[in-house]
Amino acid sequence: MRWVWASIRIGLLDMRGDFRRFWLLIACLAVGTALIAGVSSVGASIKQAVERDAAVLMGGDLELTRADRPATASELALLSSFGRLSNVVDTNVGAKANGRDAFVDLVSVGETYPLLGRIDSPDLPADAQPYGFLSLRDGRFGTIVDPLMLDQLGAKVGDTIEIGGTPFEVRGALRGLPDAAVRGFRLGLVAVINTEGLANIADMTSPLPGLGTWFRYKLLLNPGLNAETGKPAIEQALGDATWTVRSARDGLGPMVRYYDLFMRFLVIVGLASLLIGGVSVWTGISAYVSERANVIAVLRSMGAGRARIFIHFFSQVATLAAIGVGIGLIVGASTALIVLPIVGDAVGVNLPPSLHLQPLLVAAGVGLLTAFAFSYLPLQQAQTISPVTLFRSKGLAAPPIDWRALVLSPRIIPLVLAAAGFLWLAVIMTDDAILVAAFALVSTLSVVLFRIALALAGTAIERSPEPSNRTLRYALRDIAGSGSNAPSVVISVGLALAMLVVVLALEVNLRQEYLGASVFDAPTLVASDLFRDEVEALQKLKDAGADITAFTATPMLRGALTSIKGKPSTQYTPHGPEASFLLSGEVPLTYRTELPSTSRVVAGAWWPADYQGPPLVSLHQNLRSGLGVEIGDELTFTIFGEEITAKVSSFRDYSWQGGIDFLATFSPGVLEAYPATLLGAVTAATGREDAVERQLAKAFPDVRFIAIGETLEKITAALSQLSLAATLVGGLAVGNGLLVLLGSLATGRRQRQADAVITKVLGARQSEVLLVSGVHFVLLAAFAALIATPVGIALAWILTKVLLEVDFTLNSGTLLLIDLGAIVITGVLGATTILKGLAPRPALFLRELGAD
Amino acid sequence: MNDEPGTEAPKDQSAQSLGLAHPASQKSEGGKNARSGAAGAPQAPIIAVSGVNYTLDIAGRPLHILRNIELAVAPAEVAAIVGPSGSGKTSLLMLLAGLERATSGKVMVGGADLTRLSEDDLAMFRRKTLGIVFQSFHLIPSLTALDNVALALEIASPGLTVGEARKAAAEELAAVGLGDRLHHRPAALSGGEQQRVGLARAMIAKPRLLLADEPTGNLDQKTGAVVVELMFNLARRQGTAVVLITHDPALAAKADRVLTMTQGDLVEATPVHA
Repeated sequence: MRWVWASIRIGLLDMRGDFRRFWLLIACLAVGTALIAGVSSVGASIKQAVERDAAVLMGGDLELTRADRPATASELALLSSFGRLSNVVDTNVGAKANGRDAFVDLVSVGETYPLLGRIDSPDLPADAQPYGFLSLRDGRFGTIVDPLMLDQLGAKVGDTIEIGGTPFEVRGALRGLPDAAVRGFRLGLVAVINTEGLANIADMTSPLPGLGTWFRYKLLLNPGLNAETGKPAIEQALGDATWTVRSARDGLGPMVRYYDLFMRFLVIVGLASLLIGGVSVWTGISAYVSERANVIAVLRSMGAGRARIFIHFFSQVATLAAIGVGIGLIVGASTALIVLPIVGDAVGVNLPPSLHLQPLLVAAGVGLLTAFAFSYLPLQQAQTISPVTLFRSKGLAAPPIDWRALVLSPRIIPLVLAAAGFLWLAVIMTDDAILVAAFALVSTLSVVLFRIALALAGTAIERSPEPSNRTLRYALRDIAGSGSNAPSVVISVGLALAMLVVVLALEVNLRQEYLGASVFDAPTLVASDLFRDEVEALQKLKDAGADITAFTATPMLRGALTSIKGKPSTQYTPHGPEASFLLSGEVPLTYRTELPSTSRVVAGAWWPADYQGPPLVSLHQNLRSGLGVEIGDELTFTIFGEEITAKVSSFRDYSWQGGIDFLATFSPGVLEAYPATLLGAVTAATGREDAVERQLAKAFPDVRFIAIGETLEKITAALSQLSLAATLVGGLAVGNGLLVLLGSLATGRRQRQADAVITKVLGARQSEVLLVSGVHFVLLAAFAALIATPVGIALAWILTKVLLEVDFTLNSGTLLLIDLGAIVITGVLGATTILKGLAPRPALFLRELGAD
Repeated sequence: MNDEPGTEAPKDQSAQSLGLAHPASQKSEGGKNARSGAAGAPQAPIIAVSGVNYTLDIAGRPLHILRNIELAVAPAEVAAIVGPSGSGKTSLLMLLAGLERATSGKVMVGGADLTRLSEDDLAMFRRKTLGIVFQSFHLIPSLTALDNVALALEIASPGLTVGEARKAAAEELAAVGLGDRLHHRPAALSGGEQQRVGLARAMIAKPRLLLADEPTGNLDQKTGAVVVELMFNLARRQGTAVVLITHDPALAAKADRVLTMTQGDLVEATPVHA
């Protein structure tokens, strides 16, 4: 093996002088590896935390919920036989203090709550049970409330506030509930009381209709039982499908699903970034090998075999890759350590700064495999360089790749193995072979598409008559000329653009998926029981100023679902909380012409605005399985004593219920004749929320506006962190594309500079030469954008709609801006590559050229 | 395993590459007569080219570069090839180096039929039999003079340690008068010095045949004369045959024979030393 070490030694010695030229290659590998290392590390921490702390996050092994009534004594006894039990009641009420109102998400805890974890409050003694801490003292029950609510009410710990018309003593400020992660998004600010206090509340009316009350029971199973075995056993023992039984994994479902999607998205972006970085490896090593043709020829003339040439350059590539990947691992791991606690806050899971070996090894693996795969062919080409070049001329490059011969020879095997290894590691990271297969397929197709488009464009340029415009003519000649960097520029700009489109589309669509609908369209303030004149006045107020960006008035009336598909609803057993709420008696109903912006139709179709046909009803998507109904089934409601039968026309998903969205919404022309109250929803301009609230309080002293902005702020703060993460990851990935672009611009730069200086010597003005160069690169970037934009959209569509099963939307204005930006940046950067040739003293440059 | 795959060295390779002398070098030690193919006991020629044609296909039409070449060069003989540009001198040199394949005919060098050797065998042949000196020196710019020379020995003798190769390289550089320039990179050396490094590199593995392609073409007359003197002295000392391409009549005159190439024909083979 001595010759191997000797080859490595000489290879490394040979690279010494050229080390600086590889910074782009190292940076591209480092960025890609850092993205994957960071994202995988965070993903692994979340996964581990969920698996480790699932029961803590849930507050027990299982949670049983129903909306229509609390558990009966016999049900409690049955549940207790399975393990330790605690109960929580979630509802919404109003709170008052100092003449101010608050909208409360009321959490009433039983004696044994919490079974696991603890309520986080600086005022709750470590050894105190919340139930006892909140019990009747000096004639008042206690409450621990969200500090935001204290601000809203102008109260502090020790003060008395009214919750549902009953005085409660504020005994603590709430930092967090142990089971917050499984509670989902709820309207209102949290106040914790005990169930005894709940029983004493005078006014249980929700400030907004339709929010319901949820009776939750947490169960810590007896030894010998676990969530997987205990869940079916309890469901069977209860024999009542109205109960929703969830394991911790089920409870964390939406959150974990979102993070799972998010992490997979980021991993795919990281992999794509790494592959784009691979293009930089390819161009960098190809150019290097080409310039090193002389050295290779000398080695061959001395009798060096192919293996020695391969090892000589492979040792160089391996060193560069090790440096790039090493930097990437350090940066990725450090970033993960910093962001883990922040992400943990957003998810509601404790994520202490810690690192996992596996994701780092996998990131290193994909980084090194990328470097190997993309340098392999240039290194193969290096071996074909003949010493003949030393006799004939200097610096002749390797002959072009003979793909057919390569594919049929054993030399293809390492490349195939590297690609297989890359995909295998990608599957380990995403745990989704189909996603990886689709990623591989679309990546390959994209490159093939770019190559075909380039070939067609080249032929078109050759066969078309030369344009009369001189600048355009010269630019096209440069593009079509031998040694042109058109392919590498188009592919690097195109891949970076396609990825930018994918990143943007996925980020937007996953954010929407996170909350089921456009949460950010939710109003700032809502008010119930408005009169017609108040609605008109509010509409005028909205039209008059810019502070209110949207105002909608929704009619609300009460009715009961009495028959489903012709059978009395009493014969139905509802599945899930939405169905049991709808069957619990009179519930709020509405009718609408337009689909609310916070809703999205997941099945069926929304009726036309001018619909005048038979009654139709649109339901929340959970009622589909909850009631066992499908599109076209008939439901009969009793409203003001009259029966109205409507066909189910669509199922919708939405985030916010209660005055914003309703479980059942009728088509126009059905309910208008019945007396209804009006619910108003006001959306304030960003930053003007407080001003609007003051303005409305002054203008409508008799109307109670409920601010739900604070709730949104808390959620959007968490989302903002994620968005920032997505933007950063996307930005880094695109930055990597820019680095690759810089690398591709460097290809053939010397030749372009030489051409520029010669053109200048022949009498061309500097501005003309620069303009030709700029147009040259603008044309290339525009061509890349033409291909990359539809490719990116198609990719994003496949990823979101088919693989991640998320709805797809895209802003065409943003797309256009991105394309324009890419074209301008490429044009400017490209034009600047010839600046050296335009220096005031071309003779110097010519002398340098001659010395090469 | 001390060798590259597919290029197994003969068993006596280390002895050869360490300069422990092959039969030809032993016979050629010291005397002009020994170098002459015509004098003394008959020896197998180091080069035996017979009936060689070399034709290129240019745009579908054959271009005859070399026609029916016959050439024999004895061990330790110095042969100069002269002729106008484009006459085929360099093509012949490349055939002798195994860098191009003859269209027809036989090219025997050091007992090996180059027309039949595989790519790997040709690499082995160059490693063991050949040294090449180029007009443009072609040193590896990132390596010092010492490493440039040691590299050739490392390739020729994979069993050597780096230390052994460098020690031998230092001696070879000292032999060409560059003992004080060991750690200079090519850019820090003059043209003459670079060519002397190139000569040391070509000779360090004690090749049986040295091919020199206009070795003084990039040097001034005085420096060129010094380099040629060194080259001939080293070749004589090591018993190495030399085939030299040159445009310089004075340089050609120093060779044992002068061969003239005209339009692909080796028209004359003149022994200049009787």
